[in-house]
Amino acid sequence: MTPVEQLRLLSHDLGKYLARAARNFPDADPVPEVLVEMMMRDVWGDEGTDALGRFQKLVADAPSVRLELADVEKDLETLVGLEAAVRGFEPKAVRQAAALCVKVDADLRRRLEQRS
Amino acid sequence: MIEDGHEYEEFARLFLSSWSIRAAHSAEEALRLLSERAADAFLVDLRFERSPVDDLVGDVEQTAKRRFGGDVHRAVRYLKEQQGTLVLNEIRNAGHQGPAVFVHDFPPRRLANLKKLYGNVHAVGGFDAKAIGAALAEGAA
Repeated sequence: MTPVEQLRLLSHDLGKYLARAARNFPDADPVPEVLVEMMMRDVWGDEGTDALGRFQKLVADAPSVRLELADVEKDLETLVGLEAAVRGFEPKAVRQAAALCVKVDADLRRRLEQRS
Repeated sequence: MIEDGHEYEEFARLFLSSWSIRAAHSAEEALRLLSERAADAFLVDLRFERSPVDDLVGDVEQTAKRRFGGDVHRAVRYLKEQQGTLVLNEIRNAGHQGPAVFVHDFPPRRLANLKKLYGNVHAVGGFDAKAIGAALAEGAA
């Protein structure tokens, strides 16, 4: 797979779905629980693999892409580290997680656009 | 909506609740649902990575021969990556001309080509509920 194909896969299979709920959060708090729960599924999944794990699996055979996306991987590490606070519906953590979801999606799309 | 998983359906039931939603996971299922009742608009996933090969539109061996020098693995990957447009082709061939919206960043020339081939086609870069709702409504108007 070429780096562009790899980025396309990451953008579609990770970024787009990661931001599915987060980018539609209302501006005012509290964020409805149903939306927070959807974001939890987007980040931590139903099958025990979180967004960081999905990222690492997708770049497992592409070390140069992984290196290029070191900042994205760092954001994902921060994001998955918020699990306990988000599952506790702590407003600050929920907002921080949502912002990271949207940022990772935007960063992957921007990278893909630059490479295409 | 037509997708290989349930993410679009879940999203639509939450954020596009003014629409009556039906979900299909293959061209065959979509055409069956459409034979029961037509649709005003289509929200279509592009990549069907999780679909079994038997559910895909497209002949793997012919695709391999025509496009990939006989490489079946690459042909399957291609069919999965383009499945949304292939499903839309089936829908159009069955006479359903309602607007189709993809949640995908198509390059402008690719989107122009899709419009040329399939008429009323729109693309939204991400799961932006307002933008998707507007694209569906604009196309259906």
